[in-house]
Amino acid sequence: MISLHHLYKTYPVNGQAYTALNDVSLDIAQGEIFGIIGRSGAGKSTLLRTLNLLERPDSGQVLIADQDVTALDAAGLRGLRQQIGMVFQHFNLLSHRTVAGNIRFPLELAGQLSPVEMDARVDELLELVGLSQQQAQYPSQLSGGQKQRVGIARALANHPKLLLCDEATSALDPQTTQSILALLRDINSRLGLTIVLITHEMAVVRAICDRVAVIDHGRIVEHGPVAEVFLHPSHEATRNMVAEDGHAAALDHAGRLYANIGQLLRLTFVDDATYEPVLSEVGRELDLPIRILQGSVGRIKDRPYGQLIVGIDGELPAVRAALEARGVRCEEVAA
Amino acid sequence: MNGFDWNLIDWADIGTASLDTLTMLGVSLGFTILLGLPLGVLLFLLSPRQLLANRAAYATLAFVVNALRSLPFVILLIVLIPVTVKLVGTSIGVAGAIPPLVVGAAPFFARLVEAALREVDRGVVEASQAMGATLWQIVGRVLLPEALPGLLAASTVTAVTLVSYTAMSGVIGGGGLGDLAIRYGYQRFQTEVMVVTVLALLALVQLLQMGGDWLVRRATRK
Repeated sequence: MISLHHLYKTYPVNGQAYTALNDVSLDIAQGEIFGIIGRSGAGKSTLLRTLNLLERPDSGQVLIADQDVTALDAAGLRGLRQQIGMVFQHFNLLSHRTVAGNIRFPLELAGQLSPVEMDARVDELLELVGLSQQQAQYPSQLSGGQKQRVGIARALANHPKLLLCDEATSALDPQTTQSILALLRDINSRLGLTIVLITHEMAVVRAICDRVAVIDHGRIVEHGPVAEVFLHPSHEATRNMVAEDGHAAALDHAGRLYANIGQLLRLTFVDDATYEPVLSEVGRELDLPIRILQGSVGRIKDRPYGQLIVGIDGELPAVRAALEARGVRCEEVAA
Repeated sequence: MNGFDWNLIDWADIGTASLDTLTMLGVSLGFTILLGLPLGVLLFLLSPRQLLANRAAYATLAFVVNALRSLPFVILLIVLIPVTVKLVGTSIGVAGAIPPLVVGAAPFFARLVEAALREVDRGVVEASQAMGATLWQIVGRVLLPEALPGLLAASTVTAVTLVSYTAMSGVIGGGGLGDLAIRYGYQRFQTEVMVVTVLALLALVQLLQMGGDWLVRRATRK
C-alpha cells in the first residue's frame, strides 16, 4: 500500500542543518495498523507528514498504491489528500463550526456530493463515532475525547483508504485514550482501512498496532511485528523504551542482587504457550527448582505474551531443550 | 459668560453635520474594509512561514503599508488633494474627504486584519491542507470565518479611528461634526456648539464600540 524509499529531509535550525529523516525506507501493507514510535524530535512527525506531503522530502520516493506522490501536481496532490484522512493530537477542529459542520467540511471541500447526500453522510459518521446527540454543539463545548471523535469522523468523511494519526491520543487521559484506541481498532477491522500512527507511548503501540517501526535520530532503527520488536529489542533506543515501559522483563539492579545463585534465562512465551503450565511441567520433569526473578504477562494487540527471567540450578542445555520443545524462546542472560 | 445660551445653536446645522459625519464614516468604512481586508489577507499569506511566504514581496508590501501609516492624517489630507480631485472631482466637502479617509484607514485596518489572522490556530490550517483544501478555500472557509471575532473587533477600532479622522477633515472643509466644532466652537467661540458636537461624537463612538462588542460576542465560539 505504502512504500517509502530512501527519504531524506533536513531543516535549518538556528543556521544549522538538522536531519529529520535520514535514509528512511519502509513498507506498509494494506489493512494493517502500523505504528511509528520514537521520542520527541526523533523525526516521527516529519515522517508521517511525508505520506500526504505536508512535508516534502528533500529526496526519495513516497509510493502510495504504486503511485509516486512526490511527482503529483497541485491538483493531483489535493485529490490524493482528500483520499487520506488525518487525525491530530490537538484535534484542529474549526471553532466556528458545529460538530456536524466540522464533519461536513471535508465533504464540502471535495464538492462531490449534493447537500442532501452530505447531510446523510454526516449522520452516518455521527453514528459511527457516537456523537449524534452532540451534533449541534461547538467544539468548545466538547470534552477532549469527544473532540477527537469529531476529528476521526471528519477524517473518515471522504471514505479514505488510509488514515494518518499524529499522536491522536497524547492529549487525552488514560481512560479516554482506551476508548479512542478501541474506536480506531473498530474502524480498522470494519472498514479495512490502513492506519499509520505515530506516538511516543508504547502502550498505544501494544494496544492496537500490528507492526511497529522505531525511529531514532531520523533513522528507522528497527521494525517488525510488535511482539517481535518489543520482546526482543535489538537496538538501544528500543531497549531503553522497553525498559522504561516496564512491561517486558529486564533485569534491574535489585534483580541482579538476588540472582547470584544459578544461571539466568530469559523466557519468552507468545500465543498459546503463555497459558500453559510450562514451568511447573519442566521443573517436575527434570526435578529441579526454577526461580522466577522478574517478569510480565500481558497482551500485545490480541496476542498474549509472557516474558520471565528465571534462575536455574542444574543442567542448562536440558532445561533449554525442554522449554524450547514447549514453544518457549530461551536466551541466556549474563548475571 | 455665565451659562450657555442654547438658543444660539442651529439644530438644522447640527443635523446636517451629523448626517455628513455618518455618511463619511459609512462610505469610508465600507471602502476601507473592501481594500484593507484583501491587503491584510495578502500581508498575512506572504509573511514568513505562511502559505505564500515570500520574503521580498512581504517586505515590499509591509514597507508601503508602513509608509502610509507613518503619515499623520492631516498631512495625508493635503498630500492627496490631486488624487482626490481625480477620483471624485473635488477636494472639499464630504466627497472630497472620503479618498483620504480610506487611504489613511485601509493600511491601518490591513495590519489589524493580519494580526487577527495570526490568531487562527495553525493546526486548523494544516488540517485543512491535509483535507486537500485549495488556497481560496483555506482563506474563505477557514481563515476568515475562524478570525471573524478578531475581524469584527478590528472593524470597530477602525470605525472609531475614522470618526476622529472625519473630525480632522474639517481642515479641508470636509464637513461633518468635527468641521462644525472647529468653525463655530473654536473659530467663533460658540462653546455651546462645541459642547453639542463633542457630546454627539462621544455618543457616536460609544454606540460604535458597543455595537462592535456585541457583534464580537455573538461571533465568538471559543
